[in-house]
Amino acid sequence: MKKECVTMLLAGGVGKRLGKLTSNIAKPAVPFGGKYRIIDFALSNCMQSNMTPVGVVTQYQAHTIHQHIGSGNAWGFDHSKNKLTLLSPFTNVNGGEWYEGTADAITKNIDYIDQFQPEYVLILSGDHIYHMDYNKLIAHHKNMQADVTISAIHVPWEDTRRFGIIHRNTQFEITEFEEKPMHAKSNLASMGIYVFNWDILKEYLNKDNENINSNHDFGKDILPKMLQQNKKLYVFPFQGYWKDVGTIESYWEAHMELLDGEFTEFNQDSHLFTYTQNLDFPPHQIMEGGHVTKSIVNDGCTIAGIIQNSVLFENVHVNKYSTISQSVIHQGATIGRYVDLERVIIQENVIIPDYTSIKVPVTEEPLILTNEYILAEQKVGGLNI
Amino acid sequence: MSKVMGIINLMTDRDDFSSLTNDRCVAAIPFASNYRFIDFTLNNFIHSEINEIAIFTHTKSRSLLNYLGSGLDWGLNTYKKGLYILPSSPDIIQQSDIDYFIKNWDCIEKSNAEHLLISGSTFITNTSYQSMMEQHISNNNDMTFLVTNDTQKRSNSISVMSDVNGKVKEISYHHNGALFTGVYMIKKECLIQLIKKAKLTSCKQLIDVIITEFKQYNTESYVYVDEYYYMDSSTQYYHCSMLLLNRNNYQNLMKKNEIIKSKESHYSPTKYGKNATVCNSLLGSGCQLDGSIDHSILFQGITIEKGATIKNSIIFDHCLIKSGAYIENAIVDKHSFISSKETIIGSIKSPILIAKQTNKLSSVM
Repeated sequence: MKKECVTMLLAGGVGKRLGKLTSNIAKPAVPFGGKYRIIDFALSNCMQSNMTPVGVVTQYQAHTIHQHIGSGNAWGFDHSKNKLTLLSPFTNVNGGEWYEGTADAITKNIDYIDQFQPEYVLILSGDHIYHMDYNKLIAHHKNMQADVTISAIHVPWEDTRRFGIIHRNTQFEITEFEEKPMHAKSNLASMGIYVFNWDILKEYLNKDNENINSNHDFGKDILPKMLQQNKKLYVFPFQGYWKDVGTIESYWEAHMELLDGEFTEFNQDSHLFTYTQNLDFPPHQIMEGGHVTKSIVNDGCTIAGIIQNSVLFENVHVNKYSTISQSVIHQGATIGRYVDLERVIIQENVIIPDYTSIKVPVTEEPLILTNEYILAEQKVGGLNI
Repeated sequence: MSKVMGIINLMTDRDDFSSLTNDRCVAAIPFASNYRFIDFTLNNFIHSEINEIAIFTHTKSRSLLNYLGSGLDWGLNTYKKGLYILPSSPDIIQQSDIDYFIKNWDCIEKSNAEHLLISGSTFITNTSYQSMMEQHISNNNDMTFLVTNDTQKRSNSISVMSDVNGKVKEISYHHNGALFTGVYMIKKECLIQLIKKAKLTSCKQLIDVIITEFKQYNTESYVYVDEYYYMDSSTQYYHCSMLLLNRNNYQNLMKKNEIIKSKESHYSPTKYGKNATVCNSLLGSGCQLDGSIDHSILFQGITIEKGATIKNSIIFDHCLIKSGAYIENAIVDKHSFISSKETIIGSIKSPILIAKQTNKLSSVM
């Protein structure tokens, strides 16, 4: 069963900086855009680029991803044809261990990859919002006769400290890495999307596995080692929208960009669409008193209040005399009457009591409202912040 | 209930839907933003735990077959049982559902079900027939008719008179008694006997054989008390659709505990522009709305431009309504294009119908 390329989608991340958003779900399973989960973008890209087989590597709160993906048929994958496999840590003759880092997650699945005898391995992260046809990346890798190709994008200078920064010469050749630098000399950031020649990667993974001082991480260990040993590392400059929703601020910001039309679920240029599991909610209803502008509203919602610049997931209920602006409301939340909310993110199934008023100023990080938060605030008297 | 097989008999659906059924059958008429008529029948069967369903598709089935696919979206794509689509063929005698049963008998025979639950697609509600099925089986009935005590009279409908115990005394085309909903249970054995008797008479329709023969069988009625919609014309369609804009009616039909499954669509959520003013409306997904929409029902993938007005109207999938267009008391069928100069005004009693793909081909050809 030989395949030219095997795709490994890393979906085990904890997403610590997303705070309460990832307290009980994996980062790739965090809801996004009124309907999707973050991993949907990478999965949809994979299927539409015909990048199969795909191994989805899971670890942290793995069941939240497994449940979402199911058989994979929502994206056109099919378990029975070996197109998609969920790869959680498992036991073998030596016992069993957790994945220790991004590279270790691949090392522990060498047997899975080897069965396809691939030339190339495409490594993706399930944490990003973007459309991409990976065939262009693979073609670039072949053209350059590279050992490794890293997809990269120019990010705003103030964000450089969140990324792995790349320096290159004019020939796309990578000359230096800086991992999350305080004062970057370049703003070209790695997107966490790599193509490796499998034989070379395997050799480095095996060596890295024996190094007890290694973090077993692509960005920190494998790539710098390859550069140091004069392997051919090239950059693929990506054009288009790409967002790492790694923080609460960037998560909220990505939603506002969705409302501004900077990113759309269907990309006109690449003809790439975003697929996800459907949830069979009835049509949404705007009732007497309801007024919705510059917002996204999904099935099952009933709205009798005012909604501005906000994203509403399935089955959200907004009662009369309430105003919601610049907010993201997850599935099943209920907003009472005379509620005034601005710049908040409301978690699944949270009930916001009547007369709640929470307006987060632009200088502060948007606030995540959970049931625990609402209860605690009520005890100290009122929800007027 | 493995003892029961479901039959959706589309041959008995009455069709006075004008251009709504130009190129689709009644069962494939879109309803309530996300659904087709057949979704309600299918879901009621599924809620009744019937996992073997045959459909007599009859005529104009292209749209219906495309919609149903393998039955995957309703969980009916199973190795055993599931969905049997039984298309019409030229050798089936015109307007004879008895002949439809005869020509497809192998499919019914191979099922180990002892009873059949038969329904058309125009009785629209969200329920489970389990209690009727239990009554039918525990009373050892040959036939059980689902009836309503609705006082609103329908033309050409069949009424059922029963005694206090539910025993059926009379079935007729006259309006005296409860209204027959088109949903009934019948023992397989009993059906075989009725079909054999039909062969000896000139009856083409199973219901006509039942009307003459039911007294020889153990026949009961079961009264349905929940809300429902029954439609056989485009005017009734418009009227019933508008009733859904009432919050109680909407919640009654979309009951939370009984999810209505429909064909999966991959639309993104609906987007509202900064000029949108939408009120008292029911809306599907995948729309781009920037105009004024009042007291209307919108299906999926619709674009309403800034400055367009939709009032008391129903807009089907994939319509494009340009800036400046005015639509009131109308039903606009799928894939229609309404330009900025157009003003379409019907009356509430007789809404204007804009047929499927209006203005589309003229712009291409």
